Parts: sequence; structure tokens; C-alpha cells
Amino acid sequence: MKKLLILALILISALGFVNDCNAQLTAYLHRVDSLFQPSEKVNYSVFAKKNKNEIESTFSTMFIIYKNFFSSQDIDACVFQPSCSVFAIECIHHEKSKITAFLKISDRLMRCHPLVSPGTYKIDEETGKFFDPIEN
Amino acid sequence: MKWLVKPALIFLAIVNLIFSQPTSAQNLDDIVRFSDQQFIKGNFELAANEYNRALFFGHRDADQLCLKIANCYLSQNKLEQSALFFDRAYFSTNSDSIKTEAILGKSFSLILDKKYILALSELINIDSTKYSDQNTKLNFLKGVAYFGSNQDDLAEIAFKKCIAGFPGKTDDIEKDFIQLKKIEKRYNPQTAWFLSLIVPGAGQLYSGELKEAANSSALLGGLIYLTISFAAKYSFWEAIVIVFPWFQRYYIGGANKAENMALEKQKIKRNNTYQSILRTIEGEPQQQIAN
Repeated sequence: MKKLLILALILISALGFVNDCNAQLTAYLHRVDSLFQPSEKVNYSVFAKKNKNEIESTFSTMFIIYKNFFSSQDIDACVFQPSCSVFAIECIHHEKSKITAFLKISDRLMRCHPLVSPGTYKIDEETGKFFDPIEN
Repeated sequence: MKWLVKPALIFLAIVNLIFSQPTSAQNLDDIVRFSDQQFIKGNFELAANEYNRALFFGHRDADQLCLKIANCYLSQNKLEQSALFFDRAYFSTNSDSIKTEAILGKSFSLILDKKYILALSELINIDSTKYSDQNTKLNFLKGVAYFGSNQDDLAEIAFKKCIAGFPGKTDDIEKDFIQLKKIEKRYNPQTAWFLSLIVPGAGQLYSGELKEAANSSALLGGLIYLTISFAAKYSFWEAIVIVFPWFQRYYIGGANKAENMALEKQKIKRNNTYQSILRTIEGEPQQQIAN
């Protein structure tokens, strides 16, 4: 009986010790939980929600079709972040005058080529591309 | 003027009485105590500033302070600063236990910053420690760092060491890694790329993306049709110059995308396995790895 009691006490203390170690780990576990979470797919239809008139709706539809059926099968050729198509649709939504938007888009398309001199733009750390948002 | 002497003396006596009391300046221990309270309350920025103040004015426990500052930065997700202060704690102490704690903390910061190889270079300096809780942390961090750097066999060993006392749990981890190896064979990016080159869309189909496969086949089928019709209507060279570059672009692009899709599938399955390992270690019911 005495031996059994001692054995039980040893077991209980061992379990307590293991629980303590687990408690130490819990703090670590919660921080590293999302470490290998794959990046979510971009849903381009959100651009359609910003439409204010028929012109923007037309361009948004064209953009969504292009992104889903053409760009999804294309080589990664654009040197900028955001890409030229995203830049274009943002310009259309952002600029009040569509002529200004057209000029800005044309300018961007002419600047997008593999011979861009390094140092002209900041580098986007996530993609490694030249960072050129519409605010520039 | 004689009448002024008496009140002046009384005034001076009162002033002396008031200001001769020993003034208690805020000492460094008070600052540390205040910072500790702020840390507990979750005011990590203020706590870090105050700890830094105590450190600057030469508090005797520089190693402990550096650890505390590093933990403040860690809680604020300022990972580079956190790693820096863990390093300072390591070099300002003689205690083995604090040195180990500093290495573990630095590695943890590096792991959170996704610098797995750097974390491993810190962790392999410690083989094992005499403190069991540090050993558990060490093996866990080694496991995550190996897993992050795709060294799955070593990750499996480290995770198993982490829960060495539970045979059932180690079996679960073994099963997870066997499953992971199968998944990585199933979604081979090179195979997906190669299949897409042979039959456009086949790589996407191999990766389980039916819609993308149909899209790629339709796009490239259309471009082949356009090339042939151009050649028939105009000339062979015109078809080559005008339509073929587009075909080539989407042909190579499709193969590259198929490779990326397989890689993405691998990432999703890897994350599922990782979550399952974490739940096993934590002791919660194991999640089923979705196929």
C-alpha cells in the first residue's frame, strides 16, 4: 500500500511537470501558428464594387475578364507592383477626368519594360518588383 | 531694520525645516518596478522605454534588463530590435541559464521573421540544457526552424524529442510526416511544368485545378487556330510574326503557372501538416489533414 502511494505521488508530480512544460510551450505555439499560412488568392471582383458610373463598370468588367482568363495563364512580365492592369483600373476609379486616367495609364505602359534602370523606383520587398503606385 | 531680523530668522527656520527632509529621488529599482507593472498591463512600448532608461543609467542587472527589453520588442512584433537585445543579453551575462534563454529568444524572433537558417545557426550552438523547460523550447524551435527550411527529417526528430514522454503523440507526428512526404510526391512542381509543356492544361489538371486547365487549353487552342487560319489566309511568315509570339507567351506562361499551382498546393498541405503537429504538441485532438 505504501509503495503504491509513493508510486502514485511520483506519477502525479511527473504529470504536473509535463503540464508545466506544456504551459511554457503554449505561448510559443500561438505565435508560430500562422507561420506557414499560404497567401490568399486575390479576388479581383472587389474592384467592381468601386464602380460609380458606366465607364468604370465597363473597364472593371474588362479588367476582371482579363485577370481571370488571360493574366492567369500569362508569364510574369510586368516589372511593377501594382501591375499595369491593377494600376489602370485604380487610375480609372481614382481620377475624376478619364482623359487624365488614360494619359497616366499610357505613361505607365510605356515605362513598363525590362530595361528600367535600377534606383529609379523603390523595390517592393514582398514581390521584388519596382514599387509604383498611382500616388507617385 | 532690526525688526526684520526676527521674522527673517523664523522664515529661514521654517524653510530649512521643510527642505532639510531627506529627498527620495526615483531610483533605478523603482524604474524597473514601474516597467514591470507596465509590461504586465501590456504597455510594452512604455515598458521598453523605461527599461532602456534603467539600462542607460547603469542598472546592475543589465542582462535581465536586456532580456526584458527584448521581450517587450517581441510582444510589439519589432523582431529585429528584439533579436538585437537578446544578443546583448547573451553577451552581458555569465549565467548559463540566461545565455540559453537569450539564444532561444533570439531564435524565436528570427523564426517569427521567417529567417529559419539564421535561427538554426543559433540553435545548433545548444545541444541540450540542464533545464527541462528550456530543452522543450529548444526542440520545439529546432523543429519549426527545420520545418521552415524544408529539412523535414530533422524537423520530425526535433518535434518527437519535444514530446518524448508520450509514445502515442510521437506516433501521430510520424504519421503526419509520412503523409507529408506522400503529398509532396503527389504535387511535384516539375511534373506539373513538364505535363503542361506536353499538353497545355495538363499541369493544371495534375494540380487539381480543373477551371484553370480548361482556361489554358481553350486559350492555347484558340491561339493555335488563329495561327493556322492566319497562315491559310495570309502567309506562313505573317502567322509566325503576328500570332506565334502570343502563343509562345501563353504556352510558357501556362507551364509556369502550373508549376506555381503545384507549389501552392504543397504549401497548403504543408500548412495542414504543421497545424496538425502543433495540435498534437499542444495536446488538443488532432485535426484531420484534408486531402
